[in-house]
Amino acid sequence: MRSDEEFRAWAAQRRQSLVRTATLLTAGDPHTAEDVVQTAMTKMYLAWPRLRDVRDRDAYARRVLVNAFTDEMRTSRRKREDLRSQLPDRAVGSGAVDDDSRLLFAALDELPDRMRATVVLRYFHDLSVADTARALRCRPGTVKSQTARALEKLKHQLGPALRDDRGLRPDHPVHPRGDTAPIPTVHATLTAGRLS
Amino acid sequence: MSDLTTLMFRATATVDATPASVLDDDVSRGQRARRRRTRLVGTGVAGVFAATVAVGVPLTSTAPASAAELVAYTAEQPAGFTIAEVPEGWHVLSSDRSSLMLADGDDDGSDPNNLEGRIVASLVGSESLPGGDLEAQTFAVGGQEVLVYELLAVDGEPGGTLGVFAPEGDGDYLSVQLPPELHWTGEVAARFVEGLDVTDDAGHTVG
Repeated sequence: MRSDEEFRAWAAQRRQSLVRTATLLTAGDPHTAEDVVQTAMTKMYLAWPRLRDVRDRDAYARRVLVNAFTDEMRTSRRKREDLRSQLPDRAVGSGAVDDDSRLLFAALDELPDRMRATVVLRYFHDLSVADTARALRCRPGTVKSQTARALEKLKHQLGPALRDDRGLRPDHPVHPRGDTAPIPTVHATLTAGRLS
Repeated sequence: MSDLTTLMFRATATVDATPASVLDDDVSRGQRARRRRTRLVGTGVAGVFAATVAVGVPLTSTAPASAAELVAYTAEQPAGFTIAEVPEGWHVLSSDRSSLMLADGDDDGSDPNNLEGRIVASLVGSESLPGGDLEAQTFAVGGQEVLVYELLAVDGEPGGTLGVFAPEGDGDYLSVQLPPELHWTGEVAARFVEGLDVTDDAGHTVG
């Protein structure tokens, strides 16, 4: 079926980026990230015939991913409440490659879900305040305030890991060729300018 | 200062390219979900509204001039729900963790059990989706697949009432009844409902 082939081709290009985003949203929990992406991909598949415009597809994918993440967090909170004394602590950042990454995931894990989503969309996807507000279905002012509070917390948690410039750019070689994830066009820093 | 973006890219650098088998699984899951949804809509389960039944009446595609305009909701958010937009001049009449009721400015809420002319939203399970031979009109709005049905009154005459179902995750749906006074198309109805959200402490409507 042609529609299935088109969806599969889109997924081949975009899925890796969605998994990366979900990994950040879940603060480095690869299993939950995969669950979230699978849910998002199913929603994308169902909506596919109506998503003609390529830009619509990417925006829609971000929305369904964030929605799937929110749903997953809501469900896991319920489960945690039901089985509060029986569940082991969730491993934070088990897929991290180095100490800085583990530190980042631990810091992200300290943020409330919506605040974490805000900072991921702003800094990983390099979305504008307006686009982030659309993706999270909130007001631009909320995005600004959530970003500011998130950065303050991250700055406190990460400390030297953020202040020590390793000279890596967002488009450095760890980002595989052919991955079409939205690559930030600026070297984002923890400056107030990004919040305006 | 170093940058957060670089840290994020480094932290996710271990995510591998997607194998073909994973893509096949995505397509298979999508196909199964589509089949499930088709069966679900056709199972004939009872609707959620006592006063109306759903039928496959085609929805109009053009809103009449008398259609209510959607405006940003600026008042305090009600218990159990968040609201992005409301029909102009409408306000929250009541809300709790299982249902929300909106009414226009002339409605003082003196009869809390009357649903006529009011917007009623509640969190329900998938078993509450209208069934039979009904075909919902589906709208992809803001990352959600919103189902819109046109409803008939119990006397079988079309009344312009719309029933809208938006997935809330975990098999739940936000079910919203929209009165004919709004004169909304399916698209506007879907947009309004997409702007409604249940909060974490919302619970199913009972009864």
